[in-house]
Amino acid sequence: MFRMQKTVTALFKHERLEVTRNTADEARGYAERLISEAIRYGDKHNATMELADFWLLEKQLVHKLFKVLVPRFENYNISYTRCLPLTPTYPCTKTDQFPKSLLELRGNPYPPVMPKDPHNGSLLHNILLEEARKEMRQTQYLETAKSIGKEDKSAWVVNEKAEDSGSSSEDERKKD
Amino acid sequence: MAVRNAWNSLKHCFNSFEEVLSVSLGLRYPYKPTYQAVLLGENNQQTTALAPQNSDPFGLGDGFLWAVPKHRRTIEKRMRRKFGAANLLRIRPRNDLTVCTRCGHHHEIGILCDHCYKKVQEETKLAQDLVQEKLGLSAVDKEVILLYENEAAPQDAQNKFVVEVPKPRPQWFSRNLLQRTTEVETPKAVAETNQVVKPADMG
Repeated sequence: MFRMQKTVTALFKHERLEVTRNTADEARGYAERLISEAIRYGDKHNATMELADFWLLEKQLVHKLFKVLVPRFENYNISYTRCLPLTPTYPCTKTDQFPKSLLELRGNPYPPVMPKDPHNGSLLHNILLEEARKEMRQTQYLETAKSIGKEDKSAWVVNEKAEDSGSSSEDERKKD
Repeated sequence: MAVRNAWNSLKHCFNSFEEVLSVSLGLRYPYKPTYQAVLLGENNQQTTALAPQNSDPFGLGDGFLWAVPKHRRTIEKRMRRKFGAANLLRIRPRNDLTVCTRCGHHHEIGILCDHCYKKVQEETKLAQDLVQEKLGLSAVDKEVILLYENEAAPQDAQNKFVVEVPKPRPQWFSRNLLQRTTEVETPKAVAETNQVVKPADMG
């Protein structure tokens, strides 16, 4: 439990954390529950205050919970935390080097980790690119349409000499 | 008792009659006797004592044949075991790797690209250290905002805890992280309202 307390405290303090996968997964639940309780009951509630006192080992973070995080997460209808797996650094044999996860609170001021979808069709540059592609296709269709009756048929004949020899051999067989 | 004996002898009669007829007509072979006949020798004594011929002489069922192969192993199975086929497929291909669309480096599917993340990690560490230095142990009661070199403070700077970062803002870290591009939810609704939202804090 002390390990979880430390993780939750660190998460509230730094708002972004790199911990082992299982630790992150476990701490998420406790952190979100604490925030939910704070949102529901506020800071005048004894039980909630005791809970915050237990989980947050650094007491300045109790202020942060009620004054910063509650207003931030009040109207959220999704989770308050985000947990994303990181590339494991092999060999994963020592405790330090077990595969890690990034655990962070949503709405933190640091640069976003998840890249935004570059293929989102609603983005302006994608709309413009799509139109450019359509134009390109149109010009190609026109070119192919123009050249339909004007194909170079000499390329279709494989070998005129071979055809003649073949037909002559057939005639010989018929004679026999 | 007597009735039973009579009934049994009657049955025996019928069976023997049926056997004699069938065997003589060549319809079937005689049944193999389960008990061998006890030969009476002189003085009506048994000359040979015979045990009942049974497929299970010790009464153990298959117990006598525990841990023993029941069927012959086919040649195909033997060959498979012989030439190490089980070891050939130990080396399996990694089908869970893909290319990051942003940087082109490889990474596991479902896991953050390491090359892209390292960039973000560096920047985050720097910012986090600065924030902690400035905050210290004082009670935190405001949202933190990062202000890079040559940037104007945002409109609601009074309600925020501003931390100055002494370097120019990286290109990939936009100031405008949370503002929606439209006030309305669906593209259809956007088309109907014809509104234009100017993104704030783009620097």
